[in-house]
Amino acid sequence: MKFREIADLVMNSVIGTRVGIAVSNDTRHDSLKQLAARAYEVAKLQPENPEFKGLPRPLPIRHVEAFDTSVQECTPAHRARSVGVICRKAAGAGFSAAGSMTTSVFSIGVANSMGVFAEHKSTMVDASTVIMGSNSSGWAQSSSWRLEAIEPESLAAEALSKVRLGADPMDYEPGEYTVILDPYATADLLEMLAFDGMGALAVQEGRSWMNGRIGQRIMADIVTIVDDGFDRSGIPWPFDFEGVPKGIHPIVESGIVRGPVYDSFMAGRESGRLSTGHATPPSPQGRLGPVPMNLFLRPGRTGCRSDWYDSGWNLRGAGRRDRASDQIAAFYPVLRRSIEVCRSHRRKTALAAVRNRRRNERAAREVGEI
Amino acid sequence: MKDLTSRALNIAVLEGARYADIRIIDSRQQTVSIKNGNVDGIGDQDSQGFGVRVLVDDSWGFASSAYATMAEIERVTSLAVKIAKASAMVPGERVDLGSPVTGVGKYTTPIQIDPFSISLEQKLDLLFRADEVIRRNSGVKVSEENVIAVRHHKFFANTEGAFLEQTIYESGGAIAATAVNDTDVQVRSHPNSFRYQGTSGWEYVTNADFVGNAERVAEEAVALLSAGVCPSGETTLILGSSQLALQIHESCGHPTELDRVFGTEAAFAGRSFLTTDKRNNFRYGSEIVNLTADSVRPTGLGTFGWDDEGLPASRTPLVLNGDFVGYLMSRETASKLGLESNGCMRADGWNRIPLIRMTNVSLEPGTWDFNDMIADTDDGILMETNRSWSIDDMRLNFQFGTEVGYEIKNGKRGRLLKNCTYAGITPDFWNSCDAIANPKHWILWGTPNCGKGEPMQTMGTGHGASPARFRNVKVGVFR
Repeated sequence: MKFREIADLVMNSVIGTRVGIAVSNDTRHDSLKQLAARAYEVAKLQPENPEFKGLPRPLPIRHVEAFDTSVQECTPAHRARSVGVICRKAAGAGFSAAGSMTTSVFSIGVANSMGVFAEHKSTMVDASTVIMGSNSSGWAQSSSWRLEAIEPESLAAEALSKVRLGADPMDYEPGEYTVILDPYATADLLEMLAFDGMGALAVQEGRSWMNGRIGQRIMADIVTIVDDGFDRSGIPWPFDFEGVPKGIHPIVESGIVRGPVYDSFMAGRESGRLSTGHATPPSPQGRLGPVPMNLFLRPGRTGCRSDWYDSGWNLRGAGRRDRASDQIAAFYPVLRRSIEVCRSHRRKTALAAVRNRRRNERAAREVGEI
Repeated sequence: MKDLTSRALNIAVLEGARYADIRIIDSRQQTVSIKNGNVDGIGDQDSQGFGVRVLVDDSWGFASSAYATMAEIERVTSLAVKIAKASAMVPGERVDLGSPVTGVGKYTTPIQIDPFSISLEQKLDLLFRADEVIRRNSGVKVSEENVIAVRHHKFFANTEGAFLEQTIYESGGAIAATAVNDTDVQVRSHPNSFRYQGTSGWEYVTNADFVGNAERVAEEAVALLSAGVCPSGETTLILGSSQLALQIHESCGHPTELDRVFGTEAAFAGRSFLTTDKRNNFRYGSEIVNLTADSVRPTGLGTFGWDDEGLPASRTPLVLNGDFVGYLMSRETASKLGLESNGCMRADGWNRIPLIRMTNVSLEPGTWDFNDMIADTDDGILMETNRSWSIDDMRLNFQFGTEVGYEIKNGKRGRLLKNCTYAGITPDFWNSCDAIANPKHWILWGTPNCGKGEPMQTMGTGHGASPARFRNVKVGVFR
C-alpha cells in the first residue's frame, strides 16, 4: 500500500484573542488563499478568548538528523522481502504469523506571522509481528528512522522465542505477585501516564495523577522519566506544532514528580510560565493539550536476571508502536513488585487476558478509538 | 469523472490486474467545540483524493494520491500494480471475489436540513447556551459541548462495470460536565459519551436537545462525587441503551468481522473467538438475543447506498434466536465460506484501503416495557453511558465502566452509584440475557471512533439497542 498525502495544511487565523482554524490537503495557490480566508472568517465569528495570550515568537531551533535516504528509496519489493522473512521463519517452525512493515517519509513546517519558521524532515520505519501457536503467541516490534535498524530476522527470533516460552500456560491463582514488564508493556504504562496527566491541560483541570504531588516522591527512586526530542535512538523531533523548540524535559526525576509539559496556550494561563515545546497539532475539534511525544524511561543499572522470571510474572506482548506524532519508548525491562494480577473468570486465560487487554486498550487510545 | 475512473481501470488491466477499483472522494467536515465558556476548537476541513486498488493474480496492491489529474491517475495506478506484484513475493491463498459487482446508481443520505446550511454563528449560539446552563452549577469544573457536520462525496468504479456515486451526510454532537473534588473526578454526558452522531441532517442535533438536558447533566456530575461506590459481587445487571450499544460493538461487532477471524488483524487488534466452525453451530446468546448487521436503517453511521466494494446496502442476521449464524464480510472473505458478501467494506478516506467494518450492528428489540423490567427486578444495578472499555484480543473477556449507575431494590430504582463496572465472558454474558425492552425504548446510536487496521483507520459504526437485563453478572472491583 502506498499513499501520498499532502495532508493537513492547517491555517490558524488570529484576530485579537480569537483563533480560527481551517484545514485542507489542497496546496494550489488559489486554494491556499481560500484556506486563509476560511480561517479568517471562522476567527471573526468567535467571542474574544482572554486565555489566548498570542502565538509564540521565534526561538533558535537545533537541527537533528533523522532522515535516511534508504527509507525514502525503499521499494515495495524490499518491504515484501522483509515481511517474507518473518512469515517463512514462523511457518518453518510450525506457527503462523501476521504483522506489517511501514516506511514513511514526512516533513513538517510551522510558520507564523510572529516570525517563526521551522522545518523538519524525517523518515520512519516500523515493523511488527505476532507469531501464533495453538495456545500462545509472541509479539515483536521495532521502530526507527533508519532502515538498517529494522532487522526482520531479529523480530522473527524474538517473537518465536516468546511463542515457544508461552506455550501451554498454566493456571495461576489471583493475588499479589512480583511482575516483570517487558519493554512493550512498560511503554504502554508510560503512554497511559502521559495521556492521563503529563500535560498541563490535565493538571489545570485537576484530573492528572500529578495533581497535588508535584515536588513529591511518588515513584521508586530508580524511576526517571524524561521527554527528549533530540534522542536519535527514537524518532527525534526538534520542535513542536507551534514551532517552539524541544529540549530534554524531566517529568519524573529519581521518583520525584517535576511537573507537566506545556504549550503556549496552557503556559499563558500561569504567570511566568513558558511553553516547553509540547504543543500538539491545532485541531478544529478542540484542544488535546500538550503531550510529551518523545518519552524515555531512563535505564536502571541491573540487567534482566533469569531469577526474576523464576519468581514472578513476565507480562509480554503488549503492543508498542512508535509514530512520528506518538513516540513512547521504553527500552528496558522493569521489575515491578507486588502487582495485583486481576482475577479472570476463566483462569486458563488469565495471563492472555491481562496482556492482551493492555494491547487493545492501547490501540483504542490512539485517538480514542474503541 | 468517468474519464478518470476509466483511465485507471484500463491501465490496471493493461498492466496485468485481473480486478481493479478506484474511489474518488471529496470530504468536508465542520466542527465547533466549546469548553468552559470559550471556543476550544472551531474549523472547517476538506480533503480530496483518490485510491486505486488492484488484484494481480492473488496479490493486492493499493496506491493513492491527493491529485485527481489524468497524469497522477496513470502514475498511481501503475504504482498499485507494482505493489501488487511485490506482494506476490509472499504468496497467499487463491483470491476469489465471487459474483461480479456491476451496480450503477446514485445515493444521497436522506436529510431534512443540510448541516452545512446552519451557520457557525448558529452552531456557536446553541453550544454557548448549553454551556452557560452547565456552568451555572458551581460544582462543575469543566463544561464541554461540540457539534460536527460531515459530508463525503464519493465515486466508485471497478473493472466489472460498476459506477456509483454517493453523498453521505453526518451530523452530531454532545455535551458533558466534569465535576472534581480533592479525591474524585466524575463525568456526565448527553446524549452519549464520545459523541452522538448519525447519517442525518441538522435535525439529528436539534432533536438531542442539548440545552434542555444541560442542567440535568451538571447536577448528575456533581451528585456523582458524593454517590455511593458500585458494590462488588454478582448481581442482576440492566444496561441502558447506549452502554449496550458499546457492548454490542465490542463483543458482537468486532468478533464477527470475518477478516479478523482469518487473522489479518492479529498483530494489531487481535482475532476472534467466533471461528468459522462455529457458524450455525454455536450458542452465542439466549433465545431472545437477535443481532443484525443492517446498512439500510436510516440515521446509522453504518448506513449507505453501497459499500466500498460496490455492494448494495443490506440487512443480514449475525445472531438469530441466540444462535451464531453470520459474519460481516467482504467479497474475498465471503467466498472462502462459499458465500456472497453482505457489503461491509469501507475505507477511512481516499488514502486508505477498504477493510471489513461494522455497518449498523444492533440488538433487535424485545417485548418488555422498561418500567416493567425494573419492577420485575428484586435486586440489581442499572448502568448507563459508557466511561471505559476493555476486551481481550479474542473478544471474550471484557470489562466496562459506566458514568452512572442506580441500585435496584425490590423492583424500584434506588440510590445513585458511581465508578460502576461490570465484567464477563461474551457468550456467558449474552446467554444470561433474560429481558430486552420493546421498540419504544430502542435507539440507534453512533460510534464515530472505531479504530482498525495499520495504518490506523477510524470509522463510524451504528448500534441500536433498547435496555436489556442480564443475570448473575460480576460487578464492581474484584480481588
